[in-house]
Amino acid sequence: MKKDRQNYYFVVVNKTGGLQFFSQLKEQYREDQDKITTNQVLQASSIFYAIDHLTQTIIPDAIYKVEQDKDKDFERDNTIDLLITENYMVSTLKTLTGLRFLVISNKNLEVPKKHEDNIQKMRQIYRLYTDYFSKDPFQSDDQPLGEKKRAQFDRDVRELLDF
Amino acid sequence: MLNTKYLDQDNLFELIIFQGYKNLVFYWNFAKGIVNTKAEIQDLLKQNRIQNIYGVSEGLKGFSQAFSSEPITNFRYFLTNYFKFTIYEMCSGVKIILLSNISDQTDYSETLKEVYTNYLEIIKRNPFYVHGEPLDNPLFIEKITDIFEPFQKKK
Repeated sequence: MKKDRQNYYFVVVNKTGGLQFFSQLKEQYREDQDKITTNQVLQASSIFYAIDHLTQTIIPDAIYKVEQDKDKDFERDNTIDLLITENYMVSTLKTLTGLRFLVISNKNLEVPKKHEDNIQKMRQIYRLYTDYFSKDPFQSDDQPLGEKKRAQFDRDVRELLDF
Repeated sequence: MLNTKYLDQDNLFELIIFQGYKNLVFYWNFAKGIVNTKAEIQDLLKQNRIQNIYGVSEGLKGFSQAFSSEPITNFRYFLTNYFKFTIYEMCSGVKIILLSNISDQTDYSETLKEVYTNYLEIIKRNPFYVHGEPLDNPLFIEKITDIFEPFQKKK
């Protein structure tokens, strides 16, 4: 019997807005439709990068004044934490280097707790990520992984995010 | 989520209503006041901030469509480190956007729906209203202020 999976997708967007890694965790998410294509995810990740960048310009005046005194670097610190639609929720983690991890999951569970959960898991995935990307001298920072490594990283991600 | 971050600030910051393509018809800065005369709206539109808000709402719709297995619905919101952005969007092109405090836990979906029903009854079904004009109907303004009155924090 298949477990009822709560996490649907996992996406990594690099610091220039391109798609670096994508994994579809729940197999039969779209039953009567085609599986989500890589093109759609490419578009979605660049839209996300654009929105994330734009939100630093629409911070309300009152909050901006409070934070400006502390010499904040808005471009580095501002990020969309949590995005909720009626069907699903998206938790994001933005690293200091501008990398963005997204976990798209079911909204049925209690949202703040699930969001905290997702953030913890993404932090663990970030450590794995450094093993596959940063510690490999032949792997360039912005390029996607090769086939073999991609399958390995995929397996590790699924182990962490499936429950 | 740091829900205790901006507790000493106001709960609500701005209410913005767009109609069609980048057409701002109503802007309410809760600290400063309502802007709904044509000249002031033209001034506001020249600032980049309003254009960016429109851009974010369009991008949100596109992003939500990609991962959803069912047709997308009208209501969504997102939280950043600094504020909360709630949007209620109808197929006719009306977007109702509310920027609020992250320490405020209330769900504004019902209030934005109320704003929309008031918009329908008072503005759209009024035979004298021309599409695209700013919303300066005094009854509409009264209803909107009544809707948001309980959510604004009294300092």
